[in-house]
This record gives sequence, structure tokens and C-alpha cells, in this order.
Amino acid sequence: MSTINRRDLLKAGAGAALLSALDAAFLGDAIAQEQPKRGGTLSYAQLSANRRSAGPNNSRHPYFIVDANTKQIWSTPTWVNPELGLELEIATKLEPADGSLKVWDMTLREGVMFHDMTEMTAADAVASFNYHRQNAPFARQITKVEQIGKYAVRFTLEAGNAEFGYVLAEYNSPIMKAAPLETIGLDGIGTGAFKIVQSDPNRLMILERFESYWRKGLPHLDRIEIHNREGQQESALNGLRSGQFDAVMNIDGRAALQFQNDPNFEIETARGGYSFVIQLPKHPGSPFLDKRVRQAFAYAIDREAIVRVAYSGRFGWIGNDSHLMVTDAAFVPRAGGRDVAKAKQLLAEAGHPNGINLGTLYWSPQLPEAGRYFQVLQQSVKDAGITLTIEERPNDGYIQFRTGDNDLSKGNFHKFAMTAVGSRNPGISLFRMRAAFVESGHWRGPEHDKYLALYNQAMVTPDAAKRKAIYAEMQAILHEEVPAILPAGGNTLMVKRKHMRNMPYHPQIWSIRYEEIWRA
Amino acid sequence: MTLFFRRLVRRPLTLFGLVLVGLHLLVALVAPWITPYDPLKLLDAPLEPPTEAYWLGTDELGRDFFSRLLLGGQISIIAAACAGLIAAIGGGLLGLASAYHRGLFDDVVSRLVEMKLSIPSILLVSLFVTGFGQSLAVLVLTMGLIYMMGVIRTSRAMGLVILEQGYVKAAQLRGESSFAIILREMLPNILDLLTVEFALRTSSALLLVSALSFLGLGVSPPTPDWGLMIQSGLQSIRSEPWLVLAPSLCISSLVIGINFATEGVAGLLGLEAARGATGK
Repeated sequence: MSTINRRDLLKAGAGAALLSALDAAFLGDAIAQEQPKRGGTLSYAQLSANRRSAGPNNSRHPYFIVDANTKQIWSTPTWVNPELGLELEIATKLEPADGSLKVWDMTLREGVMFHDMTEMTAADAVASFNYHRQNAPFARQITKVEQIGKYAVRFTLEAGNAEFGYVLAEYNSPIMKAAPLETIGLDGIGTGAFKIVQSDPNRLMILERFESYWRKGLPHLDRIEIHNREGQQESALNGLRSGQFDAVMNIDGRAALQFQNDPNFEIETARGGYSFVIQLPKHPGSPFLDKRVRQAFAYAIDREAIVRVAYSGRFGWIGNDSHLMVTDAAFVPRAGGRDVAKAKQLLAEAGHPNGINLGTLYWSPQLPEAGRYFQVLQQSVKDAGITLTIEERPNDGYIQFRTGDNDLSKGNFHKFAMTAVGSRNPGISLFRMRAAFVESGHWRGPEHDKYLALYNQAMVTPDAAKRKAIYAEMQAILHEEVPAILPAGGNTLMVKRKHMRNMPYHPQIWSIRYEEIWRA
Repeated sequence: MTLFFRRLVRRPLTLFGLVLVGLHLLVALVAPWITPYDPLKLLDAPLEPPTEAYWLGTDELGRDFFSRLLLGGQISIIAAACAGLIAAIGGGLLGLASAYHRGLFDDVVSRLVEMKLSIPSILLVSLFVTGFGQSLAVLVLTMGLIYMMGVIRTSRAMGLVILEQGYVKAAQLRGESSFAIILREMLPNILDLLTVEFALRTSSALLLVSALSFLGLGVSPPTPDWGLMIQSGLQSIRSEPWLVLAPSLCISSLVIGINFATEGVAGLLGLEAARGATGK
């Protein structure tokens, strides 16, 4: 066995320091000298689609185009950076009006133009958020939005929310040109860096530079062509190899490895991305009503094997059965790891000493690794005596299939099924486990009430460190109660040709800054 | 019978086809006892190259690829054969009934057949599987129904010829029921045609099952299935091409085998004309 002594360590440290200095001196200069070029087209393929069905009337509406593209056309008041920190975007100020954190005042940037060359004002923001609060899940907490100046808007929420700024950065929070609720957004006019030239929902979208974009000097590119290849990763990659595409977004880690040694391509990885939620229905007669069965399921899953096999060991992380991403500062890992013996013991206590059949777990290929992911999961729980069948369903209509009409009084309930969820701040992520939300499997009971009370407490706590402590308590409840299972997640990945510059990936694919990308 | 075998020996392609089909059937039959590993178990690192322990390496999940290959044809062969059987029996009976009754019944059946033939099979099966669920029963029944249409056409054509034969007329004069005439007098006389139809439809169904599995609409993972194996191996086609080539070779060798064998047997039975009609 080799050992490292202090001398070796110092030598290695000195070497590394020298290398990094050389790097900064030469490589850094080289990059700094490379000025962004103006012009050119970015043509890329994306592997995700919009689950809403668009028609001829609404194909340019921000809710009906693929979420990853919304912010190329529309701007939002705030922006989430790749570290999931919040920054102002077309808002220049956002602050609570009082200590309750229920009322928030926002000031918009002056001189921001829509694509039809009219100026954006508070009236547009008010009209937009009146639409969002009725149609976007995260914006439903807004009870009132009012104009208090030409560029000033006041939001009143149903309860305090210390992280309200993140809601304003969602892809379903764009500022559209003011219009009646029935028609707002249908014209496809935004204040983003690019304007729509052609929109064929879930197939092709062509955008062109907006010369009067509010960030002066941007965008660099003249044109963006977005080709949808959902469920057709190989076709997208062939397009990349042949030169049809400059990049493929949301590629599977396994497939990305094919390009790692090719000098023409670069793999861009974000620090975070997606994870899969397994919703556990808790309707009468369901085995998941028993907490011990849920706990046994959580203990039986070999999460390390999922990361190793589904994410090639490099592009994934072990989940903690909350919607938080591992790189989030508030993330608390599940204690103990995999414990097959404990899973068996819990099943025996729950009256299943010979194992249990959990029925069919439905999945859809929302992400390319889903097939591998759920096969590993299925195989790993077998060790604890848990049997389940996995069945693939098509992406089209999957939401309706997965959630059903959710009306238990009619005998309908959501399925034992998965869905993919993106990275968000703790305020949004942890709220997804409330009883009213399908992903929690309609978890109820005193522990749920305690969880929600903690959430409400966190939302009126302005101090981030104190909120983090509350979030830790909430995650402890989730580890014990296991209302849903989030075994592992993956980083978002993109493969691009090297001539596309300044194109770093983002854990929230809808927050990529396309205006800063340029073509060498 | 001796003459039949003597003529068979003079057709090497037919023999080759029969040997291929026989081999595949044998492997599918004994596979559960000869696979070196549990085909579902995650044994080693994913995408290990072929070694002494794993003859064809491991697949994308770390399962023994050779074991999965041996078992990969079982479900497809069973599903395709069942669909072929449903198509041959159902189509044969309906075609004969159509020829016997003529009139409105014949018109309705013939128009239904024409309607179906204008829609691609894969589209219809996809619709059924999406609507009724992705189970083997739905898959088999749908394929059986779809391939039945072609059989109806050929058996109806043969039925119209048989209808003019003396023994059918005699049965009619004896006052036998139409069902009895179709079953006892007409059906035995198209059995050789139905045998060829069964083989042809089975070979088409085999390709369809594999195509559907490839598209994610056929057999569900983790069941070992050639179509599924091709689909999941596609991502590694540049680095581990055998993950795609081996199952592809299995499918094509079986389909080629069935076609060679059917072609030869149809020829020996003097059914070239019928073969020509069904092959379209």
C-alpha cells in the first residue's frame, strides 16, 4: 500500500500551485483575449417537450412552448444563477413591504422594450401576474397584484414567503404584454433577447436577435434554431455528429461519454439538475398507507447502484427523499444508507414476513436514463423481498395518466408512478411534499401537519441561516415518514461543438443565458 | 411422405431455414436451464467487454449479456406464434365464411379487410397498446387481429374455388348446416395454405414485436427481449457494437429461417401461387 508523507504532500502542493499559476498566466490570458463575436446561428436539439397540447392559437404562448426556451423570448423579474442563488433581472428592486413577508414591492427596470417596440411598464407586470396566479402552480400564492407606480408593482401573498423572489424567476413567471386574460401571451411578444420567427410546438422553433434587448450589446447570436428530439437521443446525437446541430441539451450521461475524447466536442455539466420522484399513493387499501412499508422501500433501494449504473457514477447523486438537490446548502443526507436487513424487519413488523408485492410502478422516458434507473431500482429492492413490476408509458398524456383526476370520492386516485422534477430553492422544493400535492401521495397525519407548520415558520423567517435549520428539521420528518421516494438525481448535461463559446450549463435548463453565447 | 423428404433434401435453402428455426426453438425451449447467470441480476460493472466469465460481456446495467440473449427470443417467439395462430385460424374461418355466405356478410368483411390493409400495422398496434395497456395479451390479440386480415383474403379466394367442388355441393344437398360445411368440408382443404400463412404471419409478427419493443411499446424491461436489447444497446453502438449486433443477428436469422422454410414447404405443397398472394 502506498503512503503519502508531508514532503510528498508539499511537493504536490507546490507543483499544483505552479501549474495553476501557469494556467492563469497563459491559458487565462488566451481566453481573456478572445473577444465574443457577433452573428451566426446556434442550432440545437433538446430532448424535452412541453406536456401541454398546443394548437394554432397558442403555439406562441409562453405556457405552450418548451419551458427551457421561455426565457430566450420573455424576461422574468428575477433570475436564478447556476449556484441557485437569486439575482435581479428586469426588476431593479424587490423587497418585502413589512416584516410579515406577505407584501412585496418590486420596481421594474426602465426603458425595457417589448419586441413590438413598446415600453414595458408595471401595467404589463400586473396583467401578466394576474394570469400567472390563476394558471401557474407556484404563483397561486399571489392573492393580489397591483400597480403602485409606472414601474412599481406590489404583490400580496396568501402567507409570508421569505423566498418569494424565486417564484418570480420561474419559467411560468414571464412578463408578457398587457392584454385581457383570455388573450395575454398569445402574440408571443416578450422582452427577451430573441423574438419568435417560427413556432411549431414540440418540433421546431426559430428565433432571431432582438436589436433593442435591454442588456446592451447582447445577444451575440443572430439566430437560434431549436429542434425537438424528445425520446430520440440517438437521432439528436447523429445530428450533432453530422453538423446539423451545434449542441444537444439534456443528454444522458452514458451517451455523453462517447464524446469525451473527441476534440470537436465539449461536455458541459451543471452542478445539479433533475431527480425522479416516486409518488406513493395512500388511498384506502394501498400498502403505502403503512409507514413501515414506505420506510422498508426506502431502505431497500440501492441508491449507489442507481448512481453507478444510471449516471455512470459521475453525473448523479444520492437523493434524500426530499425534492432538494444535493448541492443545495440546505440538503441533509439520509442517515444510515441502504439497509436490507432493516427493510426486511420493517416489512415483517408490517405483517409481510415473506415480502410484499407493491404492484406496478409506471414510468415514462422523460429523461433518457429513466429505463436504466428503474430497472436497477426494481432489481435492488428484490433483496429485501419487495417485488414490483415496472411499466413504461408514453410521454404523451403521461401527466393525466399519472395523476388521474385525483378524486378519491369517485374512486380515482393517482398512480404508483414516477415523474422528473427540476432543481429549485428549498422554499419551492420542500413545499412540494404538502398533502394537497400529488407528488406527496397526499400524505396526511400529525407529522404532515408538523411539517407544514415548520414550512410556514420558515417562510416568515427572513434570516437564511435560521431557515436552513428549519429545513433540516423538515427533512428529518421526511426521512422518518417517507411520503414519497426520491432515490437519486442527475446533473443536467449538454454536449456541444467547441465553436460555441460561453455556453455553460445550468441546473435549471430554463435559466441558461442564451444571450451571452457566441459562435467562434 | 418419403417423396416429400426426398424433395426437401433437394432444396438446401429450405433445409437451412428449417435448421435455423429448429435451433432457435430449441434454444428458446431450454434457455432457462442453460443460461450461465440470472438474466435479471446485476452482476458486475456495466458494459464489461467479453471475458471468460461473461462470454458476451455485460449490458448497460451490468447483467450477463449472453444469458439475456439466450432468453431474449422466448417471449417474442411465443407472442409471434400465438398471434400467427390466431391470425391463421380466425382468418381462415372468417375467409371461408365470407366465401360461403357472400352477400352482405361478405361485403362487410371484405370492406373491413380493405380498411385495415390501408393502415400500417405498427400504427394500429401502437394505438391499441397505448389505449389498452402494455401487456402481452393485448399485444398478441392485436397482432392476431391485424394479421388476420391478410389471411381472410387468401382463404376467401381459396374458399370460392372449393365452394364449386362436388363434395361441398353434396354436403349442401344433404342439408348440412353452413357451419358444418365450412368446418368439415372446406377447412381441411385449406389447411396447407393456413400452415404457410401461419408461418408467414409468425415471421412478420416476430419483426413487429421486436420493432415495438425497440420503440418502448412491446415487451417491458427488465424482461430479456431482442428488440429491447437493441434499443438499449444503441447508445453504446460505437464502443460495444456487439450489444446491438448480437440481438439483431438473432432476429434476422430467425426471420430468414422462417421465410426460407416457409418458401420451401409452400413449394413442396404446390402453393407457390398462394404464397405469392400472401407475401404481399
